[in-house]
Amino acid sequence: MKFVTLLLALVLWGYPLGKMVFLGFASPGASLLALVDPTVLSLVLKSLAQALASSAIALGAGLVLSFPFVADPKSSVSVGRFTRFIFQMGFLMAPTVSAMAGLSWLGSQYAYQWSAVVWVHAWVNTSWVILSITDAVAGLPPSERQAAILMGSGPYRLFRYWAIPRIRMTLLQSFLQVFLLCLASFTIVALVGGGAPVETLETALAWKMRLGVMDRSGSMAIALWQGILVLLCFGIFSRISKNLAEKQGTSRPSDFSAEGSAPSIFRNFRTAVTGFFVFSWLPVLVWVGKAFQSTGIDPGLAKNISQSMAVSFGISILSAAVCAFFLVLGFFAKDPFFMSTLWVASGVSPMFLAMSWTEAGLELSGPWSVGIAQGFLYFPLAYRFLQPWVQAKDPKLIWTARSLGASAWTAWWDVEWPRLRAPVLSILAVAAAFSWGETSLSTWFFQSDPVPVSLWVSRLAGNYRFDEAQALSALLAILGATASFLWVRNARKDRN
Amino acid sequence: MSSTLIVEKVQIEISRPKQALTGSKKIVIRADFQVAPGDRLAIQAPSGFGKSTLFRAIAGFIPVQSGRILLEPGWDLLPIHQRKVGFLFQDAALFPHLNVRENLEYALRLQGVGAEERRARAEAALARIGLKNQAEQSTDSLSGGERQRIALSRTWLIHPKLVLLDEPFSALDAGLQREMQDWVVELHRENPVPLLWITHDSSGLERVATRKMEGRQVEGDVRIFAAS
Repeated sequence: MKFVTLLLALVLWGYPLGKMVFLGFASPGASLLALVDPTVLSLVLKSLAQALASSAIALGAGLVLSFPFVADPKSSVSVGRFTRFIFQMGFLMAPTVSAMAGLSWLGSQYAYQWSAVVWVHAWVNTSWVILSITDAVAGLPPSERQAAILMGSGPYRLFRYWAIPRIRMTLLQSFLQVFLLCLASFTIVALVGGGAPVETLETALAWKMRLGVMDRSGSMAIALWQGILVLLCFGIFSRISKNLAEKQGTSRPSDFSAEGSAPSIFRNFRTAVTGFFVFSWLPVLVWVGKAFQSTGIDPGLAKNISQSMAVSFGISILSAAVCAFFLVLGFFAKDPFFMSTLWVASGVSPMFLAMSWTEAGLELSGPWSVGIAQGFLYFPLAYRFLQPWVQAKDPKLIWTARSLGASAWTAWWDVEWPRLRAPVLSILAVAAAFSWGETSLSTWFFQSDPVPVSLWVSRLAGNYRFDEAQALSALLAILGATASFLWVRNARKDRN
Repeated sequence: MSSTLIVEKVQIEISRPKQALTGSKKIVIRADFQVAPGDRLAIQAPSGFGKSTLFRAIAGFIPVQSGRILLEPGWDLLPIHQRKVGFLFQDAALFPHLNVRENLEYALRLQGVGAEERRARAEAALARIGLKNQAEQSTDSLSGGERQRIALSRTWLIHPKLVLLDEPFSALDAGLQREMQDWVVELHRENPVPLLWITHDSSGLERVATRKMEGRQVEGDVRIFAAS
């Protein structure tokens, strides 16, 4: 098992990234000075500012809007199924769809500016932050809440002095996640920002790699800076989280426990917050409606759409399968070296990874390459998502099964798998949803038609053919909503 | 025909977190005793002494540093699932994704019993413990006493060669404790294998146990379980 993981780590990132570093800095004409080039440094600062502003707004808004969910002493903090479905949409919707919905709301006078990119990033992530906060508070022992109320905490004090201090780790993780998503964001920056002068490290990397003569040294410098920022972010996070862990007990995974709800003013606030996010997705609903109403589709176009859909579907299945393969390796191999791929895949730009594979002579192209690369990149997120479930196993159940006559494998399959099935299927549905919306890897690996739907939409929007882009986006929107529905459904099964 | 359990010069070393939560301390458990078929040995010691650790070592879940644990020749070399150890935990350890009947049938399925016989034996076991009407219910809906009755019944369904009871009655009220203890004695008389019972109090000791063994602490963190 260790040999397999070592080989995979070498093939997927060790050799390709090593070769890229060599080509970028050690080959004739290349220079380390590219790292401190003023243009590159300016990009670093702009990208940092954009990611910081987006994540700070998302976290701040998430905190404020989570108040009616968390603070009501009479009700459960666990959100309802519909609210969960809506709040997950920002996370699961294809970035092309989110970007165009954002553009619809902002209008032409506010589009193509830094502020527009920041607002769209903040919008798609805020509902996710609210969900993280409410789930974290729902996972706290109800006795703590009851004790705080008995000691005289009203809604505000309950929120301020009990909930927030108890979920500081979740707030930190939410901030980190939103920050990393905004730092690595490609489609939203490209579509909402409209290209130069709204340029981040990720879009600049695409520019240097795709247009004209490839600038290896420049792209290497940008990719390295991106990696440095991500590692720095993880470093600060692990330092702060270590301090926090020493100060407070760790939260157990959410048990979605409900204490029953009572009519109160908070219910109205909660409905208003949910309603706001339903309302924000309204343009997408209109596109879906238009797509269903449209008649007389050109047979040629219909064929193209079905081919493009088939490509996207195939890639998403492959991506989920690769992700599942890595999860199996990750949880069974327990190899620290292989686990380091968690950090690598989190810190490497998808496009840079794709380029490094090509430069390493892997000669990859088309849907297979995209699926494999996506699975590799989504694996860290899936691993982090599943880890609490895997760690929450009850050894006594396994021991009981073993003593009743089950072999190690049978005990795992009969006892552990039924418990893990729902979260595993959920995260694979999420991986598939990410795959449908991904564009940067497809941009690199697809040179000929048919291309995946998301890339096609991206190209149409880039050429200002918004009506066609919106019609195609309706397909992606339905898939994003389906993934969110599946996730909610599996979460319900899990708590049953 | 069952055999005598021989726990001979066994030494187990474990690490436990210190009370100040800084680092850990090493605890050594030494055990040397025998339990004959038909014997019901009650083991008494304070909480955190290492009684459950000793049981896990006897079942084969954790390794021993030295000594041997034998029920019959080669028993210690068998994989855990072939040793036929009936292990009953304090919290019953019922499988939450299976209903009441399925929890009982699961034990029989692992023994290779066919579907029809499984069903019949599970039904008979349910009738015996008075839970026939709850057969299709989720185990979450049961009381503590009902859960333990199912777990106890499941333990005996596999015709164990050795039974380990790890404080299974301590969370029950006095009436239920007596009821469960009578069940254990009844089931054990039908299948008289070596039986070890961890208990931290003396209630029911005379009703259940044929022998008693108390843990002793010597030389700092060395804990000893040995027949006096």
